Amino acid sequence: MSVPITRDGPYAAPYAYQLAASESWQALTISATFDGSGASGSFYPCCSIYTQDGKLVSRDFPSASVAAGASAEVTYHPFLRTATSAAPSSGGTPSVATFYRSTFVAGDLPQTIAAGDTANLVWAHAKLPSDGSITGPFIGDVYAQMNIGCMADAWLRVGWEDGAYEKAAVLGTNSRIVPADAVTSSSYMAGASPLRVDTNDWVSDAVPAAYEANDLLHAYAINGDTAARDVNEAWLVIRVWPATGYNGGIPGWPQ
Amino acid sequence: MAAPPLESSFPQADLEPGMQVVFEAIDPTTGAAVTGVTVSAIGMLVSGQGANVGEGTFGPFMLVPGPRA
Repeated sequence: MSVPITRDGPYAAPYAYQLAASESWQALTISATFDGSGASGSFYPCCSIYTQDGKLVSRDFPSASVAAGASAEVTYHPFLRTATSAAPSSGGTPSVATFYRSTFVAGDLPQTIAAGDTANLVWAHAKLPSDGSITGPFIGDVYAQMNIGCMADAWLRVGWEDGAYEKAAVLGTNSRIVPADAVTSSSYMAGASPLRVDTNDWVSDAVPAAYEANDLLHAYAINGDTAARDVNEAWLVIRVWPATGYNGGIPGWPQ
Repeated sequence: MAAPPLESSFPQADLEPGMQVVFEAIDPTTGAAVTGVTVSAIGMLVSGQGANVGEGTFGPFMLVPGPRA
């Protein structure tokens, strides 16, 4: 049998309900309004249980305190696990930007890299997030710019003209987490190889990164051949999670 | 009086005769009582057996530890 026990008040805290002789129960839910307009300081609005001889056996209160002068309506439930007040600093859905050039998808002309040359990849197209967190391309259509402090990752995939020559594609950025400008190997597959699925030799690079506002990111291609070679496809995807207050130090990854 | 709603846990415990449920304002730093706070709109929905459920007494009782405290 559930029974409501109520009082309107207001009453000065502490205010108590003492069980009568032969009275025994469990609380299903309790609610009370605490008025701190005359409080001497901030406080936790507590609902406590004391034994018959005045010993405290339980004191429950919300995770947030009430400021002096403020009020709160508090509900106390058994089995409630109160959520923490601090949200993840950089969780949630990331903002995503894609920069690309593509002979296959967009009909772009290949970008020719001279023999033995290192050249910035020029982005013919960009799909940018609407929140303005990533913009570009700038400075000869080469650089992406991060406009917020953020945790990030960046992914580069480049399709070179087929051939047995040295080639690379590299993310150049101040990653702040791991060294940037790391040259990775190419993936040339001979014509008879079952791994050869198209006529591009694909090279990839990726970095976990963190950026302050106005940091720049670019990507470049290195042609190790003695002849000019074409980059047919180049795709750069950047994902950022806002990290308000990030000051450029070595960050922790989003928790 | 408009007041933002908050939630807290509460133990699932059998409260026995003479025990007290106390609404109190506690300093978050020191644990001391904070003066000048009032409590209103108290509502407790309880589950128990017998005719005495809800027959307890409200009041600002003195919490004096007994001889075995």
